[in-house]
Amino acid sequence: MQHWTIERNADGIAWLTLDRVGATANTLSGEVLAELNEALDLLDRDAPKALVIRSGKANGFIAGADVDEFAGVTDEAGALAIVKRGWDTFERLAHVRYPTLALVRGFCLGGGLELALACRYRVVVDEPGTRLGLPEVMLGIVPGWGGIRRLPRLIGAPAALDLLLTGRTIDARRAKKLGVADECVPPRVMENTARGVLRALPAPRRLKLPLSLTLNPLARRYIAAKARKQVAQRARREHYPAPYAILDLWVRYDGNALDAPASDPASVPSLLKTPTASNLIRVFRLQERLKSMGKEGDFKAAHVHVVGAGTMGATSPPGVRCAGCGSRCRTRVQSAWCPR
Amino acid sequence: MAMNEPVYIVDGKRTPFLKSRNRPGPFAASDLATDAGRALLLRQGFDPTQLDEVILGCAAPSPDEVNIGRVAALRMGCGLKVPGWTVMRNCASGMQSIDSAVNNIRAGRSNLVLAGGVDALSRAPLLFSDTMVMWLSKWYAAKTTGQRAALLAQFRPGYFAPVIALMKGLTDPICGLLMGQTAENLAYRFGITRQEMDAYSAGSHARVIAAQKAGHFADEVVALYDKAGKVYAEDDGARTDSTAENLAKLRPFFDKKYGNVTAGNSSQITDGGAWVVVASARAVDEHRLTPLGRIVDSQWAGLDPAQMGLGPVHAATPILQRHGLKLDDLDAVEINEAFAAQVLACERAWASDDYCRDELGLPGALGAIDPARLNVDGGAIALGHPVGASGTRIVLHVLNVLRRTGGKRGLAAICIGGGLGGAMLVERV
Repeated sequence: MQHWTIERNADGIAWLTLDRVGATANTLSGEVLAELNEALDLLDRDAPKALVIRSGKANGFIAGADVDEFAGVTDEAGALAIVKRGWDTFERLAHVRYPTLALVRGFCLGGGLELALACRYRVVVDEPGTRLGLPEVMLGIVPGWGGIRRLPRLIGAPAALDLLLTGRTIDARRAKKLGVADECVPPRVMENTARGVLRALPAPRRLKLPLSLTLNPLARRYIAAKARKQVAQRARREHYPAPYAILDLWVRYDGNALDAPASDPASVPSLLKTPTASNLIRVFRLQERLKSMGKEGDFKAAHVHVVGAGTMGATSPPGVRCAGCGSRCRTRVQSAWCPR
Repeated sequence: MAMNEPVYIVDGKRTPFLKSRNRPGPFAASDLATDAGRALLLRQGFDPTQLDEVILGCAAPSPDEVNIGRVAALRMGCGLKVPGWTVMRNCASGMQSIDSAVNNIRAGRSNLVLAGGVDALSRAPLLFSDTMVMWLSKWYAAKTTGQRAALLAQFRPGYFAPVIALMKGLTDPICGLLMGQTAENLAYRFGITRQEMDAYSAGSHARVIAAQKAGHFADEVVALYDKAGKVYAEDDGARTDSTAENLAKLRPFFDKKYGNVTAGNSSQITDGGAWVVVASARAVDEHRLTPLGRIVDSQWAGLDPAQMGLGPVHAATPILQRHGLKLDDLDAVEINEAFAAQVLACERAWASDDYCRDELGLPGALGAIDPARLNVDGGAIALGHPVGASGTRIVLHVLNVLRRTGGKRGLAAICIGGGLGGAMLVERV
């Protein structure tokens, strides 16, 4: 194994760390998933008391699937193979006999969150960089590795559909509040928390009434119909099929995209056939390229001075401040946005 | 007067450090300062009115004695003409007062100064919440019975929930962390375990108890009498049952559930006061005083508020550099024990090549302090940390340790909430 390392501690807890070789961020390529299976084989042979899955990268947990891999797929079989290998791996992870915990620090997106959802517990680190979400819909595809099934079960349909259909990400505190995470802690106690949760083994969260009702088949149909109406106000199915597909997969196949026959417009092969997905993936990669251009220089702003506090200028300083440097904006007119 | 003019510490005394019992303690801060100061002045060869000034460090004076330095000076019988004033540098207020005395002596403004520190943390107030204050202001402005009735209808019992001033004081206003959480940061950064913290804390209790038995605090501590005639003769924070095993049972207080810093491996919340007599060479001659030691140098340093516990490292290192000293050259060291994790982190930082290079600009690790010379009679974990008093106590105590052991050079250093460190180098004469 080159991407994953297993470390077993005296307390019986195994720490499985992903540090994808030759990449700045962790993504779940075919190779990484195959190695995860290998790791699970090893752990099956000599089961630990509990397992923590974490990232070895400083910048985040897991950014999602490897976009290059699925963007290169054109045929139906290839597309289904990608869905199947993730789905199967996470199903397997969800059913191991020892308790599992995902220690999430930094971004945890798409397949990364689906991996975390397959664990019994999630501990998120309370830092500005920690963001959780299923942004697949923004690429014109669906979270096919269990996200559509597991997220509603964990936090109820309304909040889950909101995240699934908008691709919006949430921070650590919101994740705890919604119930995506079991604990939200500062980095200084994150490892202790992981150990503590796995020692205490609290009963996994159960959805309480009335949210648990949102999962029964009748309610699903009703909720999905309402959601579909809201989606329709934004985009028509023929232009943007992904959110509709997510709703269909949830209602008809309990989130398992593999169960949808290729003829179903909600199936993964059908989605990949549309130009929407390939265009959105292109936009995504252009964005990534643009971002990476800024990384080459070693310039780091210590202070930002914005001149001209109009709507755009005045709203910049709070954002700049979050990024960890001082800022000040100047204008001839005092505005409500910019008190100083 | 030259800036290298020697400045001496002639003598010093302190009150017993009295642990807060979750209710206002028997003495107000100015009572503590007055009683310790009177006993100290009584055994000097000069009259209190001959002092040039009185400087008192206090982090939280009560509202009726905000310039507590003046209040104490008058109550100690220094007379109307001796100026008394108050300094505030959080946990190092009692070291700031000594430093201010040194400065005024070197500037030629003073020759003989009484400098000290005090705090009665048990008397930190409970405050009305903002909503209650708003309601009260409307109540006092209400003119008619109708308005008052309407206000009464709006009133909710929750308005009575008080704001604990002490918790506000122990929360950093910039990074929003409780002081104990900054200690958790250090524990995480340097990999300090709960066991290490508890073992250190048990050691602090054992050292204080041993020092009490051997009478090492006897010359330092003044007995107090409350209004009912009850005697408070000894520090009451040290516990024989504070063993590592017992401390391991406590729950983390600051990062609830999963942290490592507990009430047991933190300094205690305590009432206490301490004074030293600071004198110029001229005053020593004039009043034929026998100095306890000389203040060689002092230094203040700033650092990240979220790592404030490393303050001693940042303040003491420049002093050692200026005088070409290694940690080994110090015969006694007092690092105020705000938290066990914080003292241990200071040791780790000095022993770390990376830390000394990246944060202190040194070529490599500075080294280690012999545990037999660091906080030999225990510290604030067992004695308590009456914030304003601790700085004075450790400067006085390091001199008393040197006197006892025959050592020459001593260092007192303290971490300061808000991201500061203070250190003072002293020498026996």
